[in-house]
Amino acid sequence: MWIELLISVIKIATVLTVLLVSVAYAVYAERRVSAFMQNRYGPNRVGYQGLLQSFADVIKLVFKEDIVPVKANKPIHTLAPMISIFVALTTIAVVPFGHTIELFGRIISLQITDVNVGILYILALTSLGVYGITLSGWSSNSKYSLFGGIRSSAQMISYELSMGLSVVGIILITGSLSLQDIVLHQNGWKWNLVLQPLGFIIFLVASFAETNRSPFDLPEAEPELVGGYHTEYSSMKFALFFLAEYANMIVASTVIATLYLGGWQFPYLQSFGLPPMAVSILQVLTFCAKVAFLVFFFIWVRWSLPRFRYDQLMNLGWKVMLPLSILNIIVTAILVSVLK
Amino acid sequence: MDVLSQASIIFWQKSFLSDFCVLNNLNILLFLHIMLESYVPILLMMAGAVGFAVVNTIVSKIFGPKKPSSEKMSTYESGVEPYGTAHSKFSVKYYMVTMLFILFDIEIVFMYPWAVTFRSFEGAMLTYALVEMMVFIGLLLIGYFYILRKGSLKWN
Repeated sequence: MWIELLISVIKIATVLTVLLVSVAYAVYAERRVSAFMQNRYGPNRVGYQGLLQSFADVIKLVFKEDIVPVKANKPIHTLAPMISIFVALTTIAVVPFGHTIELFGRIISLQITDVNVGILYILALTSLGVYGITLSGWSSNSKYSLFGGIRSSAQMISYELSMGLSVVGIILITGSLSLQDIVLHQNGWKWNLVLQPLGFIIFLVASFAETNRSPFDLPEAEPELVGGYHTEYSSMKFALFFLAEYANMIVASTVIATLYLGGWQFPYLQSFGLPPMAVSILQVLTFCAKVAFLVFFFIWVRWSLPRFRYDQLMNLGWKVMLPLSILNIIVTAILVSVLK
Repeated sequence: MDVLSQASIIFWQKSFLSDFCVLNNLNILLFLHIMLESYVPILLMMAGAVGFAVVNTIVSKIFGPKKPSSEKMSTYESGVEPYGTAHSKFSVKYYMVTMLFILFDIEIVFMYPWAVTFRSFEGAMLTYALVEMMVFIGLLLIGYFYILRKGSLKWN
């Protein structure tokens, strides 16, 4: 009992540390990749090739003044960034980053916890993320923040529909809501990317909208809304929103990799006859490689595509993605019942 | 792993294999035991996340300088003297979107149990489950086309 608890605590500490360090390097990667795409250097002074830039930024932000506008609603103004980072960090609890590993004669599952309602947990927590942004916009009592917050909440709930509907296709194929089951079902070539191409595209686009990433970054459209919902935030409270945005991007990548790209599955790895330890480690590395590629994809898209106009964004969500995801469910259900 | 959780895992595997599981008090207790055990790590994770959030909110209050001035503490409005309050009217369209979202989201929730159990049906029951859901989606689509015709989703 106590040893199980200890293992859980170690797993949680490891995952949170890895997640936060990856957030720091996702920020660095974004700055370097954007610089590369725009033919400039980007941060390259702090540490070798600028590798310590993000940590220097955090230290700088800690020593900045924490400004709360007089007209703001103080408790909610403080609470909002905490909600954002809370949601971003806890969603990863049900994502499997490997199958099992044998350490000290004990079989440990490489997942913080395998709840049988994994997908529902992810959808529930990501929809809580709307509160952080909406409350920050409302409580700042600034017009820019308010418009950013309202836009963001309307955008996120619109795309949540298509996101929730596109996952139904996977559940039809797998017959389970547990993420470990979904990954185990994608052995060999049977990645859900192949079985659910339309669902994959819908889920990918909806993830971009849910994480407020470009081309869906209207909540913080700089030319019109200054900083959007975090206009009135400074020091570490601002940093929490920033961290949450990048943590959301990484968590969204892990979820996409788990649901559609086979998670930790390396096709036909079992037939190579490797020792079990090597298999476990290779599976974790496979998962990390998929996530890294998706994070790069998020950055690549941001610096390649222009921002949507608001009516285009709502039309895409309600008039294109929603009917397409319903069509995806109908086709999948018919195929599953015919091929069974 | 202690004896109780081992016994409950065996029990739970068996009750999944058998078609029918009698719910008496003991079974419910065992069920709660298994269920809660898988949620303890989530609670720990949440505690960790709350700790991280609180520490980071407090840390710049402690280390940051404190030199408030009336200019600095006023609301930012691109250098113009801020007028009025931000808590005023905004477009009713956003309310429409929120209400439609709640309607559709509730309908999506009905699809999840159907999708989980769909593969376990056989023969005529499978066709029945398929037709049932098609009727449900049909009703959903009628409502969808109604709101499209009414122009509730028109933005300009």
